[in-house]
Amino acid sequence: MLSQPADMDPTEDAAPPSSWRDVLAEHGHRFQLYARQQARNDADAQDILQEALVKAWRASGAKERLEVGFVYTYIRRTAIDWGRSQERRTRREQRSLRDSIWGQSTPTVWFERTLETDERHRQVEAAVQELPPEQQEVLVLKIWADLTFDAIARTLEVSPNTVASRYRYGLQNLKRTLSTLKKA
Amino acid sequence: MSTPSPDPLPEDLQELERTLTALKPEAMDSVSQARMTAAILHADATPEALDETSAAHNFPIRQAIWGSLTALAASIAIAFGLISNSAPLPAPSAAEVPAPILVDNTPLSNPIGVPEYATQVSAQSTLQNVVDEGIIQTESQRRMRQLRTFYLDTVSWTDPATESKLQLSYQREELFLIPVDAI
Repeated sequence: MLSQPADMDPTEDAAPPSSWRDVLAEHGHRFQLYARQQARNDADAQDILQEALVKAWRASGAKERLEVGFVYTYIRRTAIDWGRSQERRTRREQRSLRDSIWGQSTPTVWFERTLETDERHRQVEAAVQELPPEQQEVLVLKIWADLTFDAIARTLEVSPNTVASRYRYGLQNLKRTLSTLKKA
Repeated sequence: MSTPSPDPLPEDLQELERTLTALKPEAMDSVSQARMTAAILHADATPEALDETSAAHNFPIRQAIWGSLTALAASIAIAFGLISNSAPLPAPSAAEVPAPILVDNTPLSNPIGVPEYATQVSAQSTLQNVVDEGIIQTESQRRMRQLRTFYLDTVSWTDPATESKLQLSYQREELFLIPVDAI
């Protein structure tokens, strides 16, 4: 049984608490992105997000509130538990079998695709998805979830200095990858 | 107490930050929104505090209504030798949306029309919508919350001899009656 993130002070970095419906409307796409970053495929990401939202809602008092920071913490914890679960591993294998039969194994799309999305944006998205997971998740939480280094450190249960290092190394790796693509 | 800000990033990495910020995370589609909303509403209606051994925890009472196929827009994609991806069925309009139990890989019986030699390779149920139909009273004077859920079931078979494939998709409706007088 996971413990509530009691050491989190959700008001320190976040806006005043809103109803869970408002939080879902405003942050749902960010939650979804982080769940996709943590999961192997979109179906798992949706399942993880659902479970994490309920846990975060209960940890927020099980009434109208939903603390944004709790959601990110529970997405991560739930994804870790899912990775260990044999039952879900079997389900993933079945999905992989289906994908291989149907020839429809496609990477999950993380970002909006529009007619205006240029090739550069697609390269950036591909490069982000190739980062080491620990750098990738810091970038996702910093840039698109818009969390502070302190909030990210609480979510990942590491020191803020570690978060800052991973962030810098992640950007440097991305820069290197994109420079290579540009030359190619 | 906040940690002091780290050293500022060099200009080239700041420019990369601006490029990354221009990417917008994909929005949640309406089905995902409904599913997540339903998950929290369902959690609200079914507190964990209930003793699992008690009769009051004996829910949900599930009645699969297969006959609803004719009432809903059931689409059947039959494609021996072809893979047909049926278009998503339009979900009914939602009122409140609670109760989200996602049933994945539910064993589904072999419907009429599938050859006996075909091997089922996958079965998946996807929650499309949930409608809270409010509180009802049963004949035994028990107060129950009536929730109606709509699923899209997709089952795939393959013929090992010819490698032809069959995929059937159809909508399924479930009715949940959840005791509320124990809450």
